Amino acid sequence: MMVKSTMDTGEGERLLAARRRRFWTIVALLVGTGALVGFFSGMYAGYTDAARAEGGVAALGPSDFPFVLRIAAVAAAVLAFAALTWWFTVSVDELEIADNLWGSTAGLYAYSILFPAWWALWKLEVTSEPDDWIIFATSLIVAGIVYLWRKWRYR
Amino acid sequence: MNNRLRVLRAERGWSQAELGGRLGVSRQAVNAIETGKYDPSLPLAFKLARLFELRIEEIFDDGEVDHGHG
Repeated sequence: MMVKSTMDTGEGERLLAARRRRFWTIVALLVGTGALVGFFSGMYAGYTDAARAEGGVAALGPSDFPFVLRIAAVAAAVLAFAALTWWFTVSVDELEIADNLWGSTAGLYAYSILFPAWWALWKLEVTSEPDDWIIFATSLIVAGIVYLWRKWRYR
Repeated sequence: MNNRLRVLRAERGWSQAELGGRLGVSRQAVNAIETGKYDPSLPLAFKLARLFELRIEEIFDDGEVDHGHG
């Protein structure tokens, strides 16, 4: 663990500026990849859903694409997110890691509480069957709120 | 945990960003440590101690030890 105590004043600010640029580059790549994947998958899902709603079948259904291509498309997205999140994790400082861990823990707890509660209510014939997407989105929202609350606290 | 980071930093005329850059952490991390909202890891505490050429307990005080002599 080296600390450059002999560096000139201003050198630290330059190092921090480079660090900040790297951070925002990774965030931009993550958001860009997410937007790209979301745009194309959402567009295709909307297209097939619309065709089904009209009582028909989409002219270009999933089976029209080669099996390997379908797997490759999903694998590429998974690998891109895995690589970018790994790069993010090794590039940020310990406070950012702590913020991420708190957010992730809150999100996991939200999921662990929400799903069994909803499932029990469904079994007791109080509600409809648990909706995966609502639980997934709620967990992410809870994680995001806790993460942002910690970020705001340190401003 | 109380600490003397703000004073030590001011003595050297460093901004929070300057100290953050030297430590390899964000300006927010420096601010969080200074205001006692975040306790640094042991490796970061050692890094701070080396940077200021002090012992860790000369920077941080957990309020548990009586520093009086007699």
